[in-house]
Amino acid sequence: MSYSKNTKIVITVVIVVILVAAITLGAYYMQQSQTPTKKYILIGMPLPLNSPIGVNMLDSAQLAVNQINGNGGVTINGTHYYLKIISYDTEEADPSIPVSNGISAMTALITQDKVNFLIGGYRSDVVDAELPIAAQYHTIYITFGADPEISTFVAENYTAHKYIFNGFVNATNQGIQYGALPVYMLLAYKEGLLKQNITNFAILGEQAAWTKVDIGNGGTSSPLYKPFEEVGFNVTYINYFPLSPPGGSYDSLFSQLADLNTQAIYILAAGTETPLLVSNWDSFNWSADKATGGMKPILMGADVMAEMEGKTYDYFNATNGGCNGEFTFGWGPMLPINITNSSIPFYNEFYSNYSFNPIFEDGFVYSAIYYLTQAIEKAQNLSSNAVIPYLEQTNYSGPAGLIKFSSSHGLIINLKPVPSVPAVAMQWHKDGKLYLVWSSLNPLTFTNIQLPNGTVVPKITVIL
Amino acid sequence: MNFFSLFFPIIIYGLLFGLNYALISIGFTLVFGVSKILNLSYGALYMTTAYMIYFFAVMNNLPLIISILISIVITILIGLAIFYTILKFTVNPMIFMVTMLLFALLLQYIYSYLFGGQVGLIIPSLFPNVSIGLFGVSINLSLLASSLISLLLIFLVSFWIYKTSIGRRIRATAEDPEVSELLGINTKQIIIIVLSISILLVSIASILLVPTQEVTPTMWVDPFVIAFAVSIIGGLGKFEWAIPAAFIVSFAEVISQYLIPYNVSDIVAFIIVILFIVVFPNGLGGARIES
Amino acid sequence: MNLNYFRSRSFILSILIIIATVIISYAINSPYFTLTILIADIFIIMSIGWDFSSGTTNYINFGISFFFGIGALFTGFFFYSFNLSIPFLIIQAFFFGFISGFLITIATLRVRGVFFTLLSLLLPLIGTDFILAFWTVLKMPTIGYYGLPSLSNSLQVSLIYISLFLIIIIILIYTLYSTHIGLILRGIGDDEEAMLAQGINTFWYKVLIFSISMGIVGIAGSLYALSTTFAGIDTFGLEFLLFPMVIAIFGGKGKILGAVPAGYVIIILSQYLQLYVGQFTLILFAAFAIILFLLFPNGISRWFK
Repeated sequence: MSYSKNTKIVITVVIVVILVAAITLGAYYMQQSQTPTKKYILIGMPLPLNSPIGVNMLDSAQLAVNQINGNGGVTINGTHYYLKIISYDTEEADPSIPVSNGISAMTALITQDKVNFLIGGYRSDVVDAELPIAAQYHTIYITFGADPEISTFVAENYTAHKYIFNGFVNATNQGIQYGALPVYMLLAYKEGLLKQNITNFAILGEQAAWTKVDIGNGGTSSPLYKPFEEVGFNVTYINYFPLSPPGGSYDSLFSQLADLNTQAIYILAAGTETPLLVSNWDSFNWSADKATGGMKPILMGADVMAEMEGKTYDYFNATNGGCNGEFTFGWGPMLPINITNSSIPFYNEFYSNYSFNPIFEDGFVYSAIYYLTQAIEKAQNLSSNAVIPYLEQTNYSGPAGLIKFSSSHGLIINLKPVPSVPAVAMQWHKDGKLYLVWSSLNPLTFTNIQLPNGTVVPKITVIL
Repeated sequence: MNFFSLFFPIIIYGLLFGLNYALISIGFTLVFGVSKILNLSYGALYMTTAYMIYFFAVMNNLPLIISILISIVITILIGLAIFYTILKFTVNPMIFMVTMLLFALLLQYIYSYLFGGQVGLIIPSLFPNVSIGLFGVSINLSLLASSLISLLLIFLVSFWIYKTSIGRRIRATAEDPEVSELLGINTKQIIIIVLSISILLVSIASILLVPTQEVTPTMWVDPFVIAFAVSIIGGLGKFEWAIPAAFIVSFAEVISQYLIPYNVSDIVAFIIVILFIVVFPNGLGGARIES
Repeated sequence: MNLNYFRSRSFILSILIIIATVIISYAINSPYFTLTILIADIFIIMSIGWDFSSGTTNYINFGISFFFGIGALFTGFFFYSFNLSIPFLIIQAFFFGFISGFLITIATLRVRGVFFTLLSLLLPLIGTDFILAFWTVLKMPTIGYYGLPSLSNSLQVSLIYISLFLIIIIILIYTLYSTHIGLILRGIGDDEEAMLAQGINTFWYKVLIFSISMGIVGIAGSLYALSTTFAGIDTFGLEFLLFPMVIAIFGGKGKILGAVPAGYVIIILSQYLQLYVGQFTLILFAAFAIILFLLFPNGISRWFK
């Protein structure tokens, strides 16, 4: 085909103009059709929807929204409003996905879909990049990252950054309660269960912002090292574990741990690498190295994947039964537990709707919808500026505990008389089910502990 | 940690992992030897076998052996399809390589869409996932079996290449395709055969190794990098050098795991590859590369 | 220097298109659209860098995301360590992109082009693993640096800055291209043996061009970090290889300026498709890229010069 040069230019320009016009008209039209009618309060949720973590968070929020709408919604100045969630997949559970996905999603939610409020976020670096955008557009963003930096962001410029609220327990507060479990548990073991002294601990963490608070640079200078040693443990190894271990197997890492006679392993992992680690732990021959007493180390820690038991994803299947015996700690009613009056109803409702037990963030996301709604009702106004003062006064008793915010909008957790947001521990038994074994509400009592030899101890109370 | 507590684990894991790395790499370097094409979709075919087994054996509960056979066939078909589709449109080696990489990406995105992106899936194993103890070291039977099979396969492939008449034709084609064509060797057929065997080998590697790991849409990168690294170090096309080259990589990784407190095992392997690319581009086997 | 190039249709047209996008974004006044154009500009800078070197000489560089990441991460590092201002951050991004490009091309181009391509495949992986191994030692707050300064508080103004950068880069590249360097580049792409036979030391030209190109990609990385206020290992990802390469080819391999309209079309489509079709977008683009490479290796260039 040979056109004259001028024709070619005209054609190119015309095509470009048509494309641009078509897309902008399309965007404009979409905007028009989604402009909220007077009846909806739009809640934007940027979440990693390609992962069960994000799907669960969305489900929890939807549960709360359905309940509130079923009870007549929200009334502002005599007008009835119903809640509606608009969610975009940021794919952020995968650390190699660009941060710009989260930014684009948030920008779209605020400027295209014109949401009134934002709830969501998971991965620390994505959340950190999203915060300035929410602040810039003066939109409340209740986020669930664990990075203490979220509060620092608010504190450093309250006037501009007051829109951000951290609706989840940050890494620093997590550490305080996670530290308790090993101590009490091993006392329980020593007391009467195994009649064996367990002192050697290895600590393995994934590489992420929230673990840096605990593991730092690894080795004896790690923040967690001293507290463990002070309580009487001997830390044999503390470091980040590799994502691609040599030979595709953690055997070489475990042989180092075995050689140090490691008796317990403490993991910190919110990502998706643990099924391999845990099935290796199960198939590894811990008695091969004579340095060990022939004992497979107890496996415990914050392993998010290990909290998952349900139809769409099940950790027991994913590890081929390898997680048998693993303890995992988290937050909220991941199994029926009476943290507050709303915990067990929430668990039952969630499970019957989704055939999946709620995991660590879910109780908090559910609470967020409720206390946000309460703040809106008190403010009788949909503008974030008007709602913030009421949000700051939140004193909400949710499934995961009592929600109260500090002056820099982080969650306040009172530890006495009992933790206002308690940590909870579960264990996988050989029947492929998760059992509740401990919570910081009753730190001296353990229920349904499965010993290494397979027997289950229904209840034991430690005497200090 | 004293010398003895380091010695046995390093030797044993180095050997074990090395043989498994060799298993992954033979197909890659074999194809290059004959066709001078770097199969950049190699890792994606490894991944395809794994997903196919998941689909047939786990999602549809077919017996494992049958699932394995079907998966191997499908992988070979997909691999050949990619190769010949590209060949139909271009002979430019650069476009060839780029497009093969694009196919790998396409497969990644498709599997991510169909099977879910974020959580690893598990496929059943032919061997029990238990470990025995030997010289104070825990050895996983699955990994041991796959490394022994790797040894066997390399013998078989060597035998095939050096002792059979097809092997002679393959070597001739690798040596000089034009002359071979003139001498009456059907080089196109030879390439199809070698390509199929290469994909078969990577499929077998997948069947043996993936059950002790996880199936994810990005899993194609690791085996590709290993195959590529081992082939560069051994010399592209010199598949009998795959074993020593694989050992270089595996020992470097294992030793750095034991001695260096940071997670540098991957970087150490890369450094060695780069060293070879820059200083010994012909590899251990002294292959000649025409661009 | 052949000044006729400045009067060439493609040059004028690309500048006009860039200015048009800025005007349109003001008119539409949709932040999402402005963000889209901003992202497109960054990708176009990368594509121009890639096309200027790989597109002309046919030495395919798969490691473009490595240099992009270098630009972004060094920006973060220098901001955290020395609190440098934005102009300096961008300059150092060019500098480090240039140096890395220099070292890598020196090391590998001596031997054979295919090794340069092969090594480039490994670079982003090395970058990712290096950061994963040493991020605490490097004193990164997370696996990356957050809280980086923005080009401007207003998205529109940031867009203007970035568009200006894009225009400047286009002018610089086209100036270079219109000197004898451009002739040599095309010569290397057509028939390097002939060039060598004429006694031209192609090696040093390749080194120079790739170093400059990767410096430009480093600038793109810095701009990305300053736009998202975050610099992390996501910058080494495959998206930052796939999209610039596809944009460069779609615009015509070796035509360089074709990347401008191609970039806007592709990024606008992907940003809006992403909202409504989600994950399927990537499948579409990978398939599109394959079809493009196989059927139209010269892109839409026939229509554009």
